[in-house]
Amino acid sequence: METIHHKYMREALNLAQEAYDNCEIPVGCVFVLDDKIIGSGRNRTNETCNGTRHAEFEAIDQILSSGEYTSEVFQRCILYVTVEPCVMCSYALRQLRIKHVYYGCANERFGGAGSVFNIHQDPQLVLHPAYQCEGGYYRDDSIMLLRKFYIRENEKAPVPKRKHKRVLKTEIAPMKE
Amino acid sequence: MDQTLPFKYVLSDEESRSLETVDVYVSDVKPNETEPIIKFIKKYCPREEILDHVKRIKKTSYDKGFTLTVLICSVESITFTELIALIKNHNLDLILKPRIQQVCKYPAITRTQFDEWRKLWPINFYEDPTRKLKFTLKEIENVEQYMEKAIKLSIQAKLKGEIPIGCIMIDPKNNVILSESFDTRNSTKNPLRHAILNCINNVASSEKSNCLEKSNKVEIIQNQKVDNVVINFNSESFSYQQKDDNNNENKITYLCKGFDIFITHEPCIMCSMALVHSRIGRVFYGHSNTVSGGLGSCYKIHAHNSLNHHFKVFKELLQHKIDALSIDC
Repeated sequence: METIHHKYMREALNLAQEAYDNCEIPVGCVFVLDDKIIGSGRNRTNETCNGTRHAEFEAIDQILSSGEYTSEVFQRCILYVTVEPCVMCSYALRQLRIKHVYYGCANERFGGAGSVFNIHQDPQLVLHPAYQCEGGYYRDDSIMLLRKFYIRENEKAPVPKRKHKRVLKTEIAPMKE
Repeated sequence: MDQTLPFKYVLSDEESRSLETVDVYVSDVKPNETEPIIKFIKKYCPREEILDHVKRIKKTSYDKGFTLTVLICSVESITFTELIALIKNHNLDLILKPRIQQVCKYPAITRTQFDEWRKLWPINFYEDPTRKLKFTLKEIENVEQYMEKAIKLSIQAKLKGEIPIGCIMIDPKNNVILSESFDTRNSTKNPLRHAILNCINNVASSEKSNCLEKSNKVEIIQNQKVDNVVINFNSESFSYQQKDDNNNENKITYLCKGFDIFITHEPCIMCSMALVHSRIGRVFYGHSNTVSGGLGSCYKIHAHNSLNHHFKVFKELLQHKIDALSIDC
């Protein structure tokens, strides 16, 4: 069923595609305030030689440097991101007191909102409130973009892996609860 | 004898865990009867990888000789009745009389664990040579000097109305300072401008400009013999990039791979993971951060099994100096 979440997630997917087209890890996101996109971003880690330039950080910096909003704005924002936020981004979002997060597919290697850690809900992190995080919106598309990316070779890696024998898989396992 | 260091190594959960045990069947055997028994165990008893770190035979010496005890298999893998039946089937019931014994559940990683856990039942121990935490006096001196610099940066931050956390990144191969930075959350009104992220951003921008420069004028650089120093100024902090043209080919850097960070306070979870993403080499910090620390306090991100990069972390370096400044964050 088509919901408002699908509409915004499609925007995030377009940004992920843009990242892919620029040889970046295909993750994209949009921040939505009162049904309006106020900032968007996609991964730029290769371009910037900076492993922390994830889509979320790109969008957050865009919003804060626009001069239109203060950091309090995130308390009223919803984030749509194609892949579950990593541990770093999960705690960044908690510090910003994000209202809600919707994502496409889980991030089993780095995910901080349910996969590796539960940074979004961990009760011992008392400085900032917990937030809700829900996955599964355009999950298959998000996964396929990542797979397409990871069968390419990363020339920036110190020792690039040879991957010419890899085949793109298309079957997708059902979501874990 | 262990070296006394002016800082502490932040252990992973695996390195710091205390003894956990698992029940196994064992039996005392006579030395001349061990061979058929070992053969029987190898051939007919369940063999489990989880017991690979445990020795198969325990020798207990006393005044007049010794006794041998063999490990048969784990209690989990077979019931006592089944085991007795198995032994009887092979006509070993006269020489093999199983009883239950506890052995340690996990392989020992540190020598302290090994010395403690082997008392229960002998175990194998492989000391990972990369775990050696020896420092030369010169290295200790350097490490303290770098932390002094980080403390100075935290004082600078405080004077500017910032949260007083200072940090510096260095390349330990040539002791070149790559970036000095401090927390700028207050002046930028951006809650994510922590000292570490500022530091990583500085290093990345010099790496980026280095890359561009390299692709533009590879030829020219190779012919220059003079060391030249580029200083990048931006509003928040500064970064130095020293180019040693004599070993230009060694200058291939990848993110912050192999670099050391010195920071007055334990990095938060966000910054700890940023260091994983940046492939940092080692981290030294002073004061622990009990409410959001990611390198020892709330999480041990530097040593988490499922993450793809691990690094060593040392804490309490010059902590008395940091605490004496009563820097509260």
